[in-house]
Amino acid sequence: MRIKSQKSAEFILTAVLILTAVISLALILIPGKEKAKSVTVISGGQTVKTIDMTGLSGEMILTVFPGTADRPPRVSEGVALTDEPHNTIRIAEAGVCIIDSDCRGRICISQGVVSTPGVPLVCLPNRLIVVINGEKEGSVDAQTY
Amino acid sequence: MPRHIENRTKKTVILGLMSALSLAVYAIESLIPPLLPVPGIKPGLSNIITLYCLRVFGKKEAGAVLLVRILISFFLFGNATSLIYSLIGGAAALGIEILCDLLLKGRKLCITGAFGGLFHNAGQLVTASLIMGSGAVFFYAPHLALSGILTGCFTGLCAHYMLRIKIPENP
Repeated sequence: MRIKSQKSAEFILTAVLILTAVISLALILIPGKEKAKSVTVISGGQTVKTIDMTGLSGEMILTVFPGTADRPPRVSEGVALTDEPHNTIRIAEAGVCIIDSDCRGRICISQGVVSTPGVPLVCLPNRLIVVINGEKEGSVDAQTY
Repeated sequence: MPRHIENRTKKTVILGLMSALSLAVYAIESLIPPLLPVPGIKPGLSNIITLYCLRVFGKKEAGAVLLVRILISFFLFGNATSLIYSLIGGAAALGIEILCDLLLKGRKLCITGAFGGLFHNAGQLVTASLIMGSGAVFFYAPHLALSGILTGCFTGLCAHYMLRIKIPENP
C-alpha cells in the first residue's frame, strides 16, 4: 500500500511537471497576431511616457531615470552621459530596444529589438518595463499575453 | 564527551559548512553571465545544498541553511531588492520541496527539485510584478516555468549524487 501510494504520487507529480512544460513551450512558440500601435514606458509602476508608434517618423531616443524615495521617476529626450541609474530607449518603426543602461548583467540591452505587442523589455534593477501595445487584428488569442 | 553532545557539535559544524558551501555556490553562480535574454533565468545551484540538507537533516535545518545563505549574501552584496526576491523565491521553493519530499518519501529528488525550481520562479515572478507595478512581466511566465523545471531537475540530480557521498564517521 505504501509503495503504491508513493508510485502514484510520483506519477501525478511527473505528469504535472510535463504538462506545465508542454503548455509553457506551446505558449513560447505560438506567436502573437497583433499589430504594434503604441509604446508605454513604466518605471516603478508609474506610466511615465506613452508614445504613438503609428505617427512616428525616424527614431526617438528617451532616457528614463528610476524614481528614488524622495523623487519620482523622470524622462528626458536623447542620450544621457551620467553615472546615475538610467535606461536609454530607442523607439523606431522597426521596434523598440534599450541601448544603454547602468545595470548589472545588461539583460535589458541583450533583449534586443522588440516589435511584437505584449513582449516587454524589462530591467529588473531599475524597475523599468517598456511594453508595446497592440491593435487587434481579427480574433486574437489573448492567452499568449 | 557524551555521544549526544558530540553529535550536536558535529551537526552544527556540518550545517555551518553547508551554509558556507551554499554561499560559495551562490557567489560563483552570480559570476556566470546571463545565458538568455530573459530576466530571472539562472541555474539556481544553491538548491543542491537546500535539497541535500532537507534529505540529510530535515526541513528546519534546510530552512536555516537557506536563510543564513540569503542573509549573508545580503550583508555581503547589500542589495535590498534581491533580498526580497531571494526570500520569497526561497520560501516558495522550500515549501513545495518539503511537501514533495513527504509525498515521494524522499525518493526521486529530481521531481522535488523541479517543483522547487518552478515555485521559486513563480514566487519571484509575482514579486517582480509587485515591485515593478505591472503585470507585463507575466509575459515571461512560460519561459520561467520551463527553465525552473529544467534547472530544478538538474539540481535535484546533483543533490541525488551528492547524497551518495558518505561523510566519514570518524575521520
